[in-house]
Amino acid sequence: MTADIATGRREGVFDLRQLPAWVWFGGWTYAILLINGTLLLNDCDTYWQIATGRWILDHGAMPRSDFYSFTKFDEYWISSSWFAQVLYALAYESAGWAGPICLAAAAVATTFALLTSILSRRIRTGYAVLIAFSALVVSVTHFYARPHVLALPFMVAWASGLASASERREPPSPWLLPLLAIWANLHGGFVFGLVLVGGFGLDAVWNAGSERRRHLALRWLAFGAAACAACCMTPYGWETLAASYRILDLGELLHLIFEWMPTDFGTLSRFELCIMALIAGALLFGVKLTPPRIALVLGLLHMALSHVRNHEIFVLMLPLVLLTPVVEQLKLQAPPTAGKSALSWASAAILITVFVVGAVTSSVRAHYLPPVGHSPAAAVEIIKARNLKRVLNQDAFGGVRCFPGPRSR
Amino acid sequence: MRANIATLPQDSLSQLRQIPASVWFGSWIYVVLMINWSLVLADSDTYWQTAVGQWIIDHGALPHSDTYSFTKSGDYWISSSWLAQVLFAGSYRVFGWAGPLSLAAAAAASTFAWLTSILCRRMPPAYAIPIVFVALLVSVTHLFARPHVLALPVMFAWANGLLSASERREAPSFWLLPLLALWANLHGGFVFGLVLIGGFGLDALWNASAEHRKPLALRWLAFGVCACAACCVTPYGWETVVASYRILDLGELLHVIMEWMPADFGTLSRFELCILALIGGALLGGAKLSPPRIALVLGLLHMALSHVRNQEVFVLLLPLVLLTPIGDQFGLRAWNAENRSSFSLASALALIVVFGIGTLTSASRAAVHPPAINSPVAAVDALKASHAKRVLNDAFFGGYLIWRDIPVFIDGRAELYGEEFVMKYFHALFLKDVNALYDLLKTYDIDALLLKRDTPASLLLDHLDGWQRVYADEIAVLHVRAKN
Repeated sequence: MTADIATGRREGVFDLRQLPAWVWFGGWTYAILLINGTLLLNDCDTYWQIATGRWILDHGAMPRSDFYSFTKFDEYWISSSWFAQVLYALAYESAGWAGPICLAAAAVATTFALLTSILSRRIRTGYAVLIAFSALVVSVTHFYARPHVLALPFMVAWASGLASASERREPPSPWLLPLLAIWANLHGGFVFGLVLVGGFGLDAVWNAGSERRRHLALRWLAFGAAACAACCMTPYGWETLAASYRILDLGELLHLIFEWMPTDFGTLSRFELCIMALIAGALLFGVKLTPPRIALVLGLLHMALSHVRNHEIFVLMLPLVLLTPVVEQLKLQAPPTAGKSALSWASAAILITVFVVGAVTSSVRAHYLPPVGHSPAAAVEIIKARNLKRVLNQDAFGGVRCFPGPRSR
Repeated sequence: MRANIATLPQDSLSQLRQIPASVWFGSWIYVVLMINWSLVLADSDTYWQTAVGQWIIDHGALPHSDTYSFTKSGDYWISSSWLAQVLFAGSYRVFGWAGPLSLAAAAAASTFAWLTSILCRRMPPAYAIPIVFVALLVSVTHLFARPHVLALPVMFAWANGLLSASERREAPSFWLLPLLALWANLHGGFVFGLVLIGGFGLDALWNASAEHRKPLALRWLAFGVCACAACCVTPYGWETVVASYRILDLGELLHVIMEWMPADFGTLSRFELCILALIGGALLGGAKLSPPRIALVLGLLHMALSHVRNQEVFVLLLPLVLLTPIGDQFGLRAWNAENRSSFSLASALALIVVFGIGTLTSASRAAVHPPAINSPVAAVDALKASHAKRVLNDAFFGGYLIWRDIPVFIDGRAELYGEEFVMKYFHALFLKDVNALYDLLKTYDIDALLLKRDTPASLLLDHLDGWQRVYADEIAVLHVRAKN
C-alpha cells in the first residue's frame, strides 16, 4: 500500500500520501466488487427483494400478508428488511442492475474501510490492511445484493461503539441507538446486536472496579432496555422483533437452505485456514484473554460453525473483540501516524466521491445481468403463454416469478 | 476415588491403595462397554469382518479377490485388517458374540487406562480422570467391534514411543517397529503412524541443540525408512500400503459414508463442546507451544474436522502432545511420588483378570447379539424362500447377508466397489437419479431388493408394475420381480 502511494507524484494537487489506508482499501474493495459485479447478483433472492421494495413504493404501505405465493396466499408475513428493499428498488429504477450492485458494493466497501480504520488506530497500517483483507477473503462468497449486506456497516459501527465503551469502563453512548434502529429497518439480523449488548456489558462489568460494578451494570441494563426499544422503531413496531424470532425457529429447514447450513469441513476451506491460523497464532504467542472476551470469541466461533452465513460476522467481529487485549499483551506499537488514519470528513468525502464516480461509470458503461441459472426467462414465458395459474416451482426460481420489472418481460 | 477407598476397612485398604487410578478407570470403562454391548455391536460391518476372519481360519489362506458379492465377484481385493478379523472370528468361535464384544471393549479400555496412567505421571488423578472421561465421551460413539478399535492401543503405544523419544532428544528405539508391523496387520490406519514419524521428528529437531541437529535428523530419517519397511511385514507385503492409499482416494464417496463425513456442527455436539472448551482453556491460561507442537495440534484438528472417524485419534493423541509443554508451563505435578503409576506388571494383571471375568460372564448370557436393526432375520428368511438369486441390498444389510452366505450387491467394503459404483448406487436408492435405479436393475439383472423401510427407492417400487412387495417389517422391506 505504501509503495503504491510513494509512486504518486509529489507535486500533485493533493498529496496522495495524506490519504489514510482505509480510504485506499475501501476504494479498492469497491472497485473489485464492481468489476465482479455479477457475482453480487448470484443469488435468486435479489429478485423478490427488489419486487417487494417496488410494491412498498407503489402502494406507499407495508406488506402485512403474503401476496406472492399461492400456497400461503394472504397468510401473515411482514417484510422486516423493508428499508433495504426500498433502497434496492430505488437503485434498480434509477440505474438498472448496476444500481443494486453499486449499493451492495458500497456497503461492503464501507464496512471494510471502517474495520481498517478502527484497526489502524491501534496497530500498524500493514497489519490492519492484512487483517481486513483476510476477513474479506473469507466472507466475500456471501456478499450478494441483499439486505444483510446493507446492514454490515451498522453492525461494525455498533459493535465497535460497544467495545470501546466497555474498554473505557463506561456505559455506551445513547448516540449509538440510532444505528440499531436503522439496522432493525434494514435486516432481521439486528437481534445479534442485542446479544452483543449482553456480551460487552458482561465485559464492562468484569473490567470495572468492584465498587463501580453495580452502578455500571445498572447503566448497561438501562442501555439494553433502550436498545430493545430502538429495535421497535420500525413501521411494524414490536412485530419486527417477533418476526426475527420466527426465522430462528425454522428447525430442520435450516439444514437445507445453503446459507443456514453448518460449516462443512469436507474440503480445506478459507474459513478453516483462517481458524487454523488464529489458533496457531494464539498458541505461538500464548494469547491470554479475560473470561468475558473468551465467551465472546467462543460465541462467535459457535455461530460461525453452526451457520455458514455467520462467517462474515465472525471475521468482522473477532478483530474488534481481540484488538485491545492482544495489543496490550503483545505490546504492539501504535502507528506513529495514528492521527492521520483517523476518520476525517475530508477522507470520507473522497471515498464517497469514489463510490459515486464508480456508480455513474458502471451504470453507463457496464451491462450487468443476473446469471442465467436463476433467471429461467424462457420457461417463464411459456408459463405465461399457457396461462398456467398454479405452478410448483423450484424455490430458487421463486424470485423471478414475483419480479414485475420491465426487463424480465 | 480417594473417598471410595476411605470407606473400606483400614486393613484391606492398604492393598487396594496400591492399585493405580488407571486400573480402576480402565476396568470401569470395560464394564460400561460390556453392559452397553448393543452399542459396541451396533455396526453392521461387524458381521462381514467376522465372516472374513472365519474364511481365513477355514481356508488357512488370505483372500486376494472378492468372493462375497455378485457385482464385483473375482475382482482384486485384499483384506488389510486380516489379523483383527481372525481375532474376531476366533473369539466368536469360543465365546459367541461375547468374544468380539469383549475383545473390542478390552482394547478400548486398555487404551484409555494407558492414557490415564501417562497423564497421572504429570498431574493428580483428579485432573487426569476428567480429561480421559471427556476423551471417552467424544469417541464412544465410534467404539464398535471392528478392526480400528483393536488398533487403538497399538496406535497409542506407537505415538507415545515416538513422543517420548522426541522429548528425550533421541531417535526412537527400533523396538517400536514391531508395533507398526502389528498395526499394519490389524488395520489400514497404520499410514497415520508413518505421518506421526514426520510430525514428532520435526519436534525432536526443534528441541535439539544446533550441533546435534544433523545426526538426529539422519537417525529419524533412517527410522522412517525402516518404518515404511515394517509396514510391509504382512502376508500381502507392499500391497498393504497400496491398498490403504486406495481407501484415501475414494473422493466424493467419503461424503456419504457416515464415519468418513466431515464433522457436523448443525447441532451442538460433544466434539464441538470439547473444541470450544480447549480453545477457552488455552485463551484463559495463555497456553504457549513450540511451532512443531502447534503443527501437530493443527494437523490433528484438521483430521478430526474433515472426518468424523478421526475424532477418537484427536482426543487420544492431543493429551499426549500437550502434556509436557502444558505441564511445564503451569507447573503440574503428580499426586505423590509413590503413585507415579507407571503401568506395572501387577496392574496389567489386574486388568487382564477383570477382562477375563467380564468375558466369561457375558458369554454365559445368550442375549449378547448384534442389534436387530442390523439383522433383518425374517426378511432374509423370506428372501431365501423366494429363491431370488441377485439381490440389490441396502449397503447397511450387506454384512448380515454375507454372514448368511448370500451374495451381495454391495456392502461396507467401499474400496472394492469404487467411487463411481457406490455413488450411482446412492443416487439410485435415494431417487436423486431415477434413471440410475432402472439402469442398475437392468444391468445387474436384479430379481429382488432388500432395502430399509424408509428408502425412497423402496417406496417407489410399491407403485411400480412388475415388482411385488413380499415382506416388510420395522427393519427391512423385500421386493421381488413379479412372475408373469
